[in-house]
Amino acid sequence: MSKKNSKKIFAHPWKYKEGFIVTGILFILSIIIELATGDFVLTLPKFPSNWAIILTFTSLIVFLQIYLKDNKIIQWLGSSPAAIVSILYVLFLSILLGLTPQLNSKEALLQYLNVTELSGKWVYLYKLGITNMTESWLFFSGMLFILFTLGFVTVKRSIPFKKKNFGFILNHFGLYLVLIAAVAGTSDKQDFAVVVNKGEQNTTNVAFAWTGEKYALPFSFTLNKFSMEEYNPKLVFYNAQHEEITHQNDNTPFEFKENTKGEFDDWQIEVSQYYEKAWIDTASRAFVKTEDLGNVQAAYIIATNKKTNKKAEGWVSCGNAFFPRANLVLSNNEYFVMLEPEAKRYLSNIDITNNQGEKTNLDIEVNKPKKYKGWKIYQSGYNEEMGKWSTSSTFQIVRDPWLPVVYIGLFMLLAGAVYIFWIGKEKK
Amino acid sequence: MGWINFPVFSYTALATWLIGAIMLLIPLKKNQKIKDIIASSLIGIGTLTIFLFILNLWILLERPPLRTLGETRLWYSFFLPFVGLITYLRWKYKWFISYSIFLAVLFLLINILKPEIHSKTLMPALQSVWFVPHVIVYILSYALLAMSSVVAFYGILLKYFENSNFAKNIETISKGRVNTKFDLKYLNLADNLVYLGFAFLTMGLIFGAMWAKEAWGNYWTWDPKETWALLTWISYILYMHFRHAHKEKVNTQLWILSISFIVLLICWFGINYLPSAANSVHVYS
Repeated sequence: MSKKNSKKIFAHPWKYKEGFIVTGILFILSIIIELATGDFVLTLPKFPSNWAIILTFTSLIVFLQIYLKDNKIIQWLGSSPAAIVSILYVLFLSILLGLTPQLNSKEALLQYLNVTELSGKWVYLYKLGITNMTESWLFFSGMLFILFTLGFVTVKRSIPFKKKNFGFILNHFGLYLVLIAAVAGTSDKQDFAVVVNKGEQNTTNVAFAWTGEKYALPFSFTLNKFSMEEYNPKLVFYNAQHEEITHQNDNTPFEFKENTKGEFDDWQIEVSQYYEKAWIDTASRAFVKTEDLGNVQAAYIIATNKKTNKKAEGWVSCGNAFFPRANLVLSNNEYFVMLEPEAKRYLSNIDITNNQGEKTNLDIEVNKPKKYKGWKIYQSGYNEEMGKWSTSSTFQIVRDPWLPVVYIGLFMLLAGAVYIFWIGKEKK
Repeated sequence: MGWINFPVFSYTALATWLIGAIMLLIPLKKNQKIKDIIASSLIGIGTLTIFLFILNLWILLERPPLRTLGETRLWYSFFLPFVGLITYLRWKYKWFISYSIFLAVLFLLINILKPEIHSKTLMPALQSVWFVPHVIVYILSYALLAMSSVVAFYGILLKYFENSNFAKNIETISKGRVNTKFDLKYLNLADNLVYLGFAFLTMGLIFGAMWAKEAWGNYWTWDPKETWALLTWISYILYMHFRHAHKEKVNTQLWILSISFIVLLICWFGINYLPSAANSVHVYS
């Protein structure tokens, strides 16, 4: 006597059991291929091959869904159980990724673990591609599965088109685009650091990848000027015995400003002079205003302790690469110290010269990247020891030709999110 | 400077918001609808007032007010009641608009009571137009998802205690005023809240990616907070798909909802304690 609801595995219609078996097969196959291919890292080929692959893949799904929609396996791929199983698989792989350090080469992994050879669980994690998930066959299998379920269900619900499926299509096709562009795009994405020193004689076209490899750009950089605006420096208390820096008790920062009186815990502080740009006059041993190179922030303060009436006054300066720091001595181990000011904004003025000799002048500011011939240039760093006097500037240049596709997908998801917000899950 | 006019604008906003919120929450036997319309109009006026102040500040400063902590809080005080009001007009959730007004008042009060940290300037990476929207939608999403868990939990309690002696006692003591019967409407409400919360969660994820692209050149870097945010997003997707496919399997739905909420909590707080997350840009020292 057979149970009413039992059905033979792989008899149609497929549901969860078959789904988990398919997932298991994908998982095991991925591991086998990963182990067999050893150190080979999986990436899609560059443009135009990746374009061709993506278009073929998508067209295949559309074709199959339209012309073979009565096929039981295709019906399963567009069904809820398949969707749920593929979501679970991606969730599982993402958790693996989240719990394991991700490094894109064996050398980087060895460096991270601080060893010369892999041992124990790390051997397996490396060999199975788990320490470099986004370039592993496991990740590829997860992507494949979810792209199939997303693709088939989107086509299914788009043809024939009904208004009520509009939100569904936005969300599912949007995600499909984002995933496919992100995966395809990685092979075409170029991401380098360029370090430029000031002056025409230092013009460079050398870029460095994150792996340290050098790359010759089709254009060169010249740094004309690096400038930085600083926030006003802050006053802090320094205990030399405990080597401890403290702000005042209520944690509000005490900022240096011209002609101000303020309080710092038990001390009354008068900032009688404050210069953003100063240096020491050798004759008077005092700081004077200057526009000259190498200037530093300095202030003359008069500190009076309200409780003990002790008074201390003098120049304080945060110092820089050219001038030593100046602190105000309060007692044996206690000082008032001016902290180095934080950068408010910093920018570089550069010339980019291409192979035809054409020059483009650009101002690159942090958070305000500029475009140049398909590349985007970001101000990423400078010589922090020299601060605003830095004579070198570091840029990040990124070329991401698939970005527009990703953005279309992201905007579809955003529109889909607004749609979900508006429609909700109304019970009619 | 521009903040000199702040008291007028902020006191107006505070007054209209508080009166509006209280009016909204007080039940009236007659004229409930008119009362609610007046209340939401007042809230709208308060929100508009803050918007006008931001505009005024923008013009005076000759730059968008996006640079200091005080300025950021102003935007919170605008967007929170603004989105809360839209959500109320669409869905009539009084608790949600009250919550968003509560937060807006809080941020406004901080600006009123602590004017000296107005000018505490933000790191350059935070001076982005995506910063405020990213934070706002996450604040709202977490509220909605937390509430959906509360509602679902309440619904399940009702299911377990239905017809028990405990329930009968409560009914007797409260003279029938406290509901002790399980009603599917609780789960339907929880479901709707998940959808709204998920919508905001999606926006948060996307705004974060746009911001990262502008600031660092990459929209996704598998930073621990990003990874856990993605796991949270996937968990709620799982819930929505399962509920859609198996409306009758209430117990499993609730399991998935509970685990999703735990993942959310790990994303929100937990990562601050995970050693592997110590270098994340989202961990604030």
